[in-house]
Formats: sequence, structure tokens, C-alpha cells
Amino acid sequence: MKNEKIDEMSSNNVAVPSEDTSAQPPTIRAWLRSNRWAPVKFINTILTWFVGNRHADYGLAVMRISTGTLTLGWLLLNIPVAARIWGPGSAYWDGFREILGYQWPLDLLRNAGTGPFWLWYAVTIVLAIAFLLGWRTRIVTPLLFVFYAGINAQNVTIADGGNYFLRIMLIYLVFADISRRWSLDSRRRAKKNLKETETGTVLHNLALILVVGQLCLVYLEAGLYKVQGLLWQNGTAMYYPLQSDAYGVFPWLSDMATNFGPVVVLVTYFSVLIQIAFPFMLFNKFTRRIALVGILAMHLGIAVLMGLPFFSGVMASADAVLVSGTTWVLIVAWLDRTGRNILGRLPKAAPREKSAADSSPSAASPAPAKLPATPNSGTKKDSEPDLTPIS
Amino acid sequence: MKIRRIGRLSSIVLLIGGLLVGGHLAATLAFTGPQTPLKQALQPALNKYFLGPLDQGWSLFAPGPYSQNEYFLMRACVSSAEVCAKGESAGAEFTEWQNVTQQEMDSARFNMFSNRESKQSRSIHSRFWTAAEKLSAKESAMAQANHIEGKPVFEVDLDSAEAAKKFTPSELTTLQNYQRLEDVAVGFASLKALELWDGKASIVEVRMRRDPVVPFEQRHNNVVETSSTFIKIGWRDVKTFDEDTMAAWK
Repeated sequence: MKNEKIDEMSSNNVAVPSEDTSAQPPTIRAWLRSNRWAPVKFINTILTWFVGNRHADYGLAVMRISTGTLTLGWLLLNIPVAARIWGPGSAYWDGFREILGYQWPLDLLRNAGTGPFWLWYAVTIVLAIAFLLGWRTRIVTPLLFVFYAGINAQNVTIADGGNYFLRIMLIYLVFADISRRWSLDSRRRAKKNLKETETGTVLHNLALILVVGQLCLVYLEAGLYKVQGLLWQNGTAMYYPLQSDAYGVFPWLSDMATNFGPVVVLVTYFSVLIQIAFPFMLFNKFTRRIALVGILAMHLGIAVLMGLPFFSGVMASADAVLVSGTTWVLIVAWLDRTGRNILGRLPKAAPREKSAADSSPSAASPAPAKLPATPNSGTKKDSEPDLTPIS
Repeated sequence: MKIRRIGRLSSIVLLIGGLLVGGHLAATLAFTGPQTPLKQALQPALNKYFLGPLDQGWSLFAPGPYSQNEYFLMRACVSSAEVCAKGESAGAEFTEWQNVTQQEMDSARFNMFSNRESKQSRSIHSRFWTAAEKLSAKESAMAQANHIEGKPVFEVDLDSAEAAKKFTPSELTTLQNYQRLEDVAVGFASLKALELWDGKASIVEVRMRRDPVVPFEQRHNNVVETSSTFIKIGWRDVKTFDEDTMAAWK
């Protein structure tokens, strides 16, 4: 029956591709020939990614500003107790410090007196300010790492995941151009018309891989460890730290969050799933957005319910590199517009302020945020926001 | 079609840097990941590489979440060392037990932005507990006994040649790890005593207490009894520190 049909089709001169004798049969050799440039194209794609542009520059700027702000806040918040927990008052940790492997210059505070300790602490605060403003980051970033790690090395046990993560990030960020956008460095470079070097671009992109790689690794492993735990499996794990004295910062909020069993199970499972899925969700633009919103929600919950704002903030600030430059520009433009609108609605006390607000173009129209010029802003490509930070 | 040309220095940086980045991320995955035969084989090299500023661990409340309240308790004898050694019958004055962790956490309650001092005694507790659990029953009994007037907890100085003869290398490592953390706990208690009793304390006693969080299934019960677990450090001499350290605690 089938053969009859084919014959019929042939007799009616219907073109059947498989019967086209002039076309070459699909052989491995033919496939190899047609794809003979694939390895070269692949290598070129990689090389272009590494030398063509400094990726995720807006994301890294956001990471720098938020991380710097958090570090500064953390240092200021701990001033009243700093001498006890990291300074000379922490001498009872000395035997334990011996085995931690912090070597010069990270162990300089071990035998430092009160004066040198406070000098070190003050310099760290200044460095954190310089870091967040993006001032001479090529010098400031390694120095901030040394000073910040030196303080942490004095008492590693009170450090949380945020301290660990930040310390590692600072090592990676030494190689990245974190002040390409929204910084004092970018203004200076634009004024002096300084050119970016190709080697610097390669190093920047390698550092970006380290940042994203570390981020994925942290989430994946945190998730994989969780699935091994019985309380994570039965969906009640979230309840326990929230009901403990140490992490239940707001007892009434903890009670509310853990009152309904199904909610506890859903939140517990969500935490595990979002962490394990995070690295894999980055490959697609749509799922990447879901992953980022999900992980941000998780961090917000940890910050408020468990009283770990520093840890959550540092992790979330690293997530910023996964958000495209366009999105950051739009967010900043929206913030700028909203800020001006709010300021415009305030009672106009001084006539001078009023006229300034009214004459601002941003107050009247939704103009994009004003961006500082980049060092090599001569070409259109370089001045455009980076749309594909990790692709 | 040709391969894109890039500068020689950039090529070298890309090649070496790429290898280093790949190697570092693979090593991080191995070091922080679960125990596997591969990790076991690489452990000495990984420990060496990650010792210091690269040290990290990402289990984050897993596999078991934080499910107990950990407390650091201490008290002191505020008479002279000789009187304290003879006990209450000789007129030694002992203070009430102080729950240092509870005092620290009171400042963190309803405060998302509490300072790091609120974590201090709890962090000592958790490190100490891990080290103390590794002691044998006999060693544990020795650690819980009183050792004052400079007497070593395990009868010998653990850094001496005599200790190397008396214990196997693995036993000695366990004891040294314990001793290191006990010194931290006693040092912290000594400074806390200085703060609380104005330098009058001559010996201190420490207890680590763990209270389990009410099980999930019983969370709506109004009366749930949980039992505490203790690891004790017997009476020890107050540790002395230099002036800068004392000044930070006064």
C-alpha cells in the first residue's frame, strides 16, 4: 500500500527530496566540511568575549557601591565593641589564631596595641568610603582586602557567611575594573581621555567569571547540603532557626511565619529549590530573571526574619552583576525620576529650590539617568550599556 | 577564516589566567563540597591552599538547621586564690551563675543591626562543643575536673616531649584542639569576670548549655519541657592579659 502510494506520487511528478539524485547524501565527511570553521568560530567567540568589552560594568558598579556601603555600615556599627572583639581585647583568641594560617600582612593586628588597632580601623573606614565612591580602585581594592581581612582574622568565629564571601570577593575584584561606571575614577578617566588596555579587559572578564562562578558555587552547595538533611526533606527546617534565641530576632514575626505548617514547608522547599536551580537558571534570559527575583526574596527574608542583613546584603550585592546594564540604567533613571517627583511634591520653602526643581528636565519628562562618560567613549559601542553581562 | 588576533601579553594572560580561574573554581568546589573519595584524596593539598584568607564553607544551616539554643554560662570566685582553693567552708565567696549568651542576646532582640559582640559567647560555645565532643570519656572527666594553681588539665604540658610519648599523634591532636578552645573559653570568662566583678575574680568555672528548640510538631503546645545538655569546664585559674587587653574590657 505504501509502495503504491510512492509510485503514484512519482508518476504524478511530485518532487520528493530523497529522490533528488543531484543532492549529496548526508555523510560525516560532508558535515565535517560544512562545519570546518566551527572550532575557529568558537575560539573567536571566546576571544571576542574576553577582549571585546568589559562585561557587567554596571553590575560591578552596583556591587561596588552596595558592598562598600555595607562594609562601611558594618565598621561604623561595631565601633563601640571593636576594641573588644577585634582589637587588643580579643587576645584570648591568640592560641586559636595560630592555626588559622593568616600570614603577613593579615596578622599584623595580632600583637598590635590599642593605638595601632584604632589607626588600622580608621584606615579601613576610609578605604571603604573610597571603595564605594570608586576612587583609585586599582589601589584601594587590594588595600581594603588587606585591612578588612586583617580585622576579620582577629576573630574569625564571629564572622558570618557575608564576611567570608566579601573577603573572597575582594580578592577577585582586585582584577576587575569595578570603577568603569558611576565612580570618581570614571570621571577622572574621561577627563584625561585614558584608554583601556586589552590585557586589563581580559583580567576584568576573568574576574567576572570568578565572581559569578563563586556565586553559583555558593548557592549550589548550600542547596545540595540542604537536600541531605532530614528536616529540610520533611519541610520543617525553616522553623528551627527562626524559633531559636540566636536567629529569631523578632519573636512575634517568627511565630507568625512558622504558625502555619504549609507555609513553613513551602518556604523551606523554595529555599532549597531556588539555591540548587540558581546556576542552571542563569543560562536563559527569562529564567535568569526568575532566579534573581527568587534569590532576592530569599535574602530579604533572611535579613529581616533571621537578623542577618550583612550576610544577605553582601550576597545580594554580588547578584547585581547578573543584571544587565540596560536594566540598571533603567532602575537608576526610575529612581532619579521618583526622587525628583518626591522632592517636587515637598512644600516649597525656598524659592530658589523650587525653581531648580521645576526647571529640571527630569522632573518634567522621564529622561534616562545621566551616565558618566567612559574612558574610551569615542565609539558608540563602548558607551552603550552592556546588555549581556554573562552570556 | 582566521583566528582573531589579540596582543601577545593578552594571550598569555588569558591562557594562564583561564587555567588558574578554572583550577581555583574546581578546587573551591572540591574543598567546600560534600565528602567524596576525590575530596579525601585531595584533602591535604586543599587544606594547604584554602588555609587563611581563602577559607570558606557553604553548608549554611545544612544538613541540619540550627535547632538548639546555645548558652555560655560562667561564675567566679572573688576571694583570693588561696581562699578559693579551700572552698566555701574557708570563707571563699562565689558569684551567681551568669548566662553570658543571654545577656549578649538581650541587646540583639528586636534589633536587626545588632553589633557582633552579640555573637561572641555563642561562637565560642559552638567551637568548644565540637572539640569537647571528640574527647574520650576519661579525657572528658579530666576536663570537667578542677585544675587550679597552674596544674595542666591532662596532667602534662601538651606541647612537651613527655606528651608526645604519652599520647598517640591522633590523641595528642584531639587534646591540643580541645585545650586551645578551652583556653579561649577560660580567657573569655576571665575578661568577663574582670568586667563584672572589677578584677576581683581569681578562679572561674564555665558551663556550656544546649537547649533544643521546641519540636515543630509541638509548636502549638503551651507547655513543652525540653532537657538541657551540658559540657562543663571545671574551676580554672583566671587568665592574665596585658594592659591593652584589660583596658578594652574595663
